[in-house]
Amino acid sequence: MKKIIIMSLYLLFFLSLISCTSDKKNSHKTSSIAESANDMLAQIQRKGIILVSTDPNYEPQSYLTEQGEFVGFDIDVAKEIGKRLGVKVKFSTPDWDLVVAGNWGGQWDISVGSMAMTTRRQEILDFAQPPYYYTVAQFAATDSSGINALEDVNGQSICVCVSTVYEDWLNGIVEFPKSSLYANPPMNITVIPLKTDNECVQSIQVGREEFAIFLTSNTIIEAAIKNGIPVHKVGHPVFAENLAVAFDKNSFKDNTRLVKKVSKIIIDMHKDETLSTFSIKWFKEDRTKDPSI
Amino acid sequence: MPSIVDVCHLDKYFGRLHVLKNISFSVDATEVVCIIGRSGSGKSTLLRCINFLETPDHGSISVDGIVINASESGRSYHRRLHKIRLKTGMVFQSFNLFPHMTVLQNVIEGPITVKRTDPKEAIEIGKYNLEKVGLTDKRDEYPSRLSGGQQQRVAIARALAMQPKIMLFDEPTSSLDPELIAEVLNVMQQLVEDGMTMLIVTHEMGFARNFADRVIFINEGHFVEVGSPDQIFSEPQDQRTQIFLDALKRFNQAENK
Amino acid sequence: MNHTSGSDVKSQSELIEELRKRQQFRFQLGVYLSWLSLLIILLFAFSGLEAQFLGIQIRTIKLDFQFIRRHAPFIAGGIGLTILLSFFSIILASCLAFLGALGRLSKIPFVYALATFYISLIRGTPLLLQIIFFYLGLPQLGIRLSGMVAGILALGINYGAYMTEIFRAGIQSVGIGQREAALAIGMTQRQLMQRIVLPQAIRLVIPPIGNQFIAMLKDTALVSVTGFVWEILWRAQKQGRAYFRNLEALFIAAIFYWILTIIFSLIQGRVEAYLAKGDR
Repeated sequence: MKKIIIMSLYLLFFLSLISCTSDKKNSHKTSSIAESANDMLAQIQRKGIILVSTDPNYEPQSYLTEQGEFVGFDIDVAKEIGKRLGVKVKFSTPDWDLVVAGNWGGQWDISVGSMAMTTRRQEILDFAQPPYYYTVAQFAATDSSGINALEDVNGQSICVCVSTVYEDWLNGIVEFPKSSLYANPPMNITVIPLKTDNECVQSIQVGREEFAIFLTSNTIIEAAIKNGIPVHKVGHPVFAENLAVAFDKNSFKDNTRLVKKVSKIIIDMHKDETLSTFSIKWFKEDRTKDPSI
Repeated sequence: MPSIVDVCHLDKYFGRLHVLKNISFSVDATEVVCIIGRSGSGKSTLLRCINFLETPDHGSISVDGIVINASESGRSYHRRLHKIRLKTGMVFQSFNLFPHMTVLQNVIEGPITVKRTDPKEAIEIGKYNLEKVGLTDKRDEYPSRLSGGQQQRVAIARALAMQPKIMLFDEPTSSLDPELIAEVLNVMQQLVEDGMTMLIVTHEMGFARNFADRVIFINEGHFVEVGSPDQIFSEPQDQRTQIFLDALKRFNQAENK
Repeated sequence: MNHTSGSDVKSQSELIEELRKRQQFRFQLGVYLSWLSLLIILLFAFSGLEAQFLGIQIRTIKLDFQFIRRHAPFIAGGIGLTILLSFFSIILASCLAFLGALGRLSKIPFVYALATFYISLIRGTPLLLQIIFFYLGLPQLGIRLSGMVAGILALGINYGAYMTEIFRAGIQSVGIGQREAALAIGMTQRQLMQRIVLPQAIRLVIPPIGNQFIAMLKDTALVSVTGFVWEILWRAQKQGRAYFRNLEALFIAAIFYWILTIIFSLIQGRVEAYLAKGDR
């Protein structure tokens, strides 16, 4: 008898450490409008708060001031979306890998993080349509490398951020519509994936010599140049990225209405020039017009 | 007079070693019994079987009417075991005081924790027993500050505080410097005079000679000779007893030189 | 030789004592001066200055000190969380270590197996992996934890496995003689554990736990990988990356960890000295 008591005490102790705050996982798309208890948009509006994931690694999209406040283009867009939904915005800072992998476990509701829409990502994430802005992917090289044209990139070592479309494209995985592609991947290259785009830049900054070229978004290259890193753009952009608000396909609550509503908000923000205003504020140019049109 | 301790056909093995061989004896109330023998003869093991710090492999032990047979287990066994331990008080060769408690706390720990005595009452019991062993002034000291003889006397007080029916002494002076032995023997003498039933494993022949009612010589796990102190010390019947006593005498003489 | 009279003449033992004190003072002085020199060398290595020494060009690491001045406060904001994480994790770890030690000493097969299984599993996988698992794996079981709770759980469970040895040694350090004495006066195993073993074991166990706490202060940096806990390293990484000043940001973080360690080591020294007072 004593043994049973001791064993169950052990079990209870371990279980009590875990605070189960999980919602019951319903089957995915039972999207009857009458079931508002299962509707994510309804829940968000009820709580009055929307949780937005952001990764404050990148100036000017999302970064922290010295005082620790979130600022940036993505931040402004997210706050505006929240305003138009009638709720407050709370920012959450999961690592990029976690956002891109889907299965957010309900830890946050949407991602406004300059995420490029790709066919692979669309399998696990829903995207608001249309994208809220567009950038292009571009090669950059150190000023001292002598690499100035796209042909020079062949046979080189190239740094990229891991788990990005840049890495995929270099590895020959194409996930965009043809109209977004402006060039073929270079040949005979060595791909060096690092944890973030900034690490590629910093490597160059401190004088490491594993690579002289990196591939990333033009916004990041511009931020680096602004901060005095001795790099320059190489050739013309190689593909366009459609950057959109993302949602978890595997969320506990049904997000159909949420996706529709946010898409409508994005359309409105394009129409009334809000997005253009933000873009000019942060990028010094309007990047919200679709280049393929 | 009823016997306080009754040992029947006790056998004990350590692995293959047959340490106690079919031992039977009893100790009556107010009796003082001394067990003598070489190290490894089984005398300590025998003592420790009585309060079940060692478990017998065969036979039975009864203390003040409570009987436990070898190889018992279960709830009833534990209850009887607990009762037996309440009736026996043990004093160890290495004192075994609780180093994180003061002298007084050591003495009253048993009454308070085991018997759930009211603390005030327990303190009175503690003071009484400390006075008995002559250490009232040391009651707030920690054991590490006391001499060996003082520690052993505290140990005796600790055992007495539980008001046992019989006191078991396991070579109580073997760890003491010679000049400290006397103070402990004096306390034990006092206990004899108070009529306490005592079972003592010892090398102190002087004490055995003067205060024991019975002396048992044990060798290789069985009783070789049992008798009054006069019989054993002056006219041992068995040759082995004689050899042992001679060896002891020579050792004592060498020490005294 | 001793002089028999004269209060102005010191005795031999006093002279020896004075000599000893002088030697000790000289030793301490030497240590402090050495520390100072090492610190200066370290600071020089990060000063960004260049120097010529015996014809050899010496370069040092150049840091953007303005960045350091401006962003240090924000990074310092993580100190509270770091300490909080360590504190709660150590408490959890101690509880698990105690249970683990009991389990290791147990005669009940399942309890012993459970304890040894836990220890083997946790010691056999990297802490970083465990933190990520708690954060990623559990949600799939329907258990949603905040970054802080996941971090505390992972750190606590990890350190608990390593600390069982400490507790086991502490428990076993209480000699068998005392246990027998306790049993002889009729104590149950539980009373024995509560009244005799634990009070003594705890004294023995506190200094090693202090060491573990100080180690854990640094391991909390791994919790930054979940992205949710704004402790020192997380803050340093975000500021460093956004402004392309990773080296400076990490430099700030390192300084803060070092200061924390020094402070808590001093506290631990005091605690150990206090505990030692009770010993012979």
